[in-house]
Amino acid sequence: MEPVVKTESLTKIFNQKTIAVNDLYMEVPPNSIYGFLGPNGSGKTTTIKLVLGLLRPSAGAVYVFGNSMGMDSADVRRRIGYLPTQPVFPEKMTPITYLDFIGKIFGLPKEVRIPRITELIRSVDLLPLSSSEIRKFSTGEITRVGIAACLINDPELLLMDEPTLGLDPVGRSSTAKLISELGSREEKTIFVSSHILTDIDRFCTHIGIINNGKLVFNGTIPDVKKLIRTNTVELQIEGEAASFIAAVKALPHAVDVHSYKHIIRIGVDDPENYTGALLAIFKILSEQEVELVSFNSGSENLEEAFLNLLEEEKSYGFLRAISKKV
Amino acid sequence: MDFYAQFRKKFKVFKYYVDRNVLLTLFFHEIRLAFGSLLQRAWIIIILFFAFLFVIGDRNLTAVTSLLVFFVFFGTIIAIVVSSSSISGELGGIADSLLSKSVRRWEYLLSKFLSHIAVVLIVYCSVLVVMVGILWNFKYLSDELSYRNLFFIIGLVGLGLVFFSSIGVMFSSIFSKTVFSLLASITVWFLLIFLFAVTEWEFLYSPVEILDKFALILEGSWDVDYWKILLFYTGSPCVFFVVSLIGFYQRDL
Repeated sequence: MEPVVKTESLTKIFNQKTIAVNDLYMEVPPNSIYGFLGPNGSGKTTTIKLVLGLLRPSAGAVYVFGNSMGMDSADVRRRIGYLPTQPVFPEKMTPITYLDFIGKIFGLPKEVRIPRITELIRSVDLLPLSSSEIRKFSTGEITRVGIAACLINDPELLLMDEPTLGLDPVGRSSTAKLISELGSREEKTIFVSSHILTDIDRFCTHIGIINNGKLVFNGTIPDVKKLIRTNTVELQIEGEAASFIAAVKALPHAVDVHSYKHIIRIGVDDPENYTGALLAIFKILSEQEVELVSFNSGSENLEEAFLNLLEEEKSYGFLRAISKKV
Repeated sequence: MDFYAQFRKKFKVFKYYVDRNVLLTLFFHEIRLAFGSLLQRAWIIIILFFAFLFVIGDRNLTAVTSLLVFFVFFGTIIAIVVSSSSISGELGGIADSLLSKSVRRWEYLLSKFLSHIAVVLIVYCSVLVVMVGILWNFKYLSDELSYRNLFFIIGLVGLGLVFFSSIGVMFSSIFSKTVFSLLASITVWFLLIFLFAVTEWEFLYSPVEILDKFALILEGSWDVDYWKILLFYTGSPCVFFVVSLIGFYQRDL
């Protein structure tokens, strides 16, 4: 299937000084929730603006739905919804008047626009605030208006730039839930940028990792975890730890077994032996009089994976390792 | 079908067209925002206050002259100051949000030009028409007065306001920061208005010249090629729009 968003050698240099995006090749598969991950200042927002045609690329090209994106690609943007980081709205407007205005911009007739506004206001839980001025809203409420606005045209592609930024845990959770629902309900492709790893891990199916304007990974979430798997197992047990550790140390593929506080960390010599080593560890657990309290496979934590990836990319080792994937 | 029903039907067709046209939607949105803004309302109240004072004070043609002087000196600076933040003040916020939707850059830019010109003209024409109407109704104006020439002068000052409003929008599209746009606009105002007001210098295309030659224009005896003035005032906003368009298509948001 043709990717919804495709970039080829996309480069953006600001004022001939700052390289914001560097030779970016990216493909966003259709009907996916694509997490665009990177530290602050890595080029996430610049990439989104290039995809929307708000910025002119210094080199390379962007294709959305197979069409080359430019400044006046209004017809392509008709199929896109965009939620900027901390959206700004015209003063004195209420959610209803703003959504009505945006609906008119998309050329929606009144018969379609009005029911759509009502539906959206309900779905983002803004009904009690629907006639209040937006400028008086909290960050969470503003984000909800922004989400409603980017959905008014029922877009096929949704670009969300740090949608959970500045939200409290409840707001983050409800936004994450909304994104998951949108991704699963209809034939929509969602592109979410974030530097919050737990969010990406929670609702994304695919991931692109950007660092210093360069895409260092593009694939699925299990792929990235597998790629940087640390070949370690972390266990927390209750019972006779010393005899358990001794039994594990005797395993042929177990290396670097040590305990720290209540955590026992076991290293496996080769990724190929990982599954076999896990089975042996569980066998020891069942044979000995110990109780398993917690288990971490070492590739579960996306945050750790992400940090490892960036660290490796810094020393160029990662680029060599995944040269086929980029 | 009675007149009211016909009007309603035509209005519905017009509304349907407006609702589906990006340029008209943006244009009416800008006008609504302009009249909803507290600052704009304050300007309108100040202008109305002065207009009222002039009518009460003079009760003759001098009231109209005073109001035209007011518009040339203060109306132009209000127009240029308000319009010089129209685009630069929205960059990185509302402008990005609108242009990320199905809005083309020229539509956004043209809506800014047209709406700012429209707001200035609505305020100017309303005040002038009401004022001249009052003076005419109470027979404060001489029977020998040439209304044709009077409205020609009023029209010229109106075009002057359009000139300053559009130059403000142009600067706001060129400069990223409102402060630079404002400085450039005020410099133009200083060069075209203030300088000719405080000196004896003459410049055909300065609105101050229209005030200086007020009596001659009213009598119809100012020996000048009016087409040049008209071309300057009507052509300049078009040139400003083209310059803005070229600049705006080169810039990143």
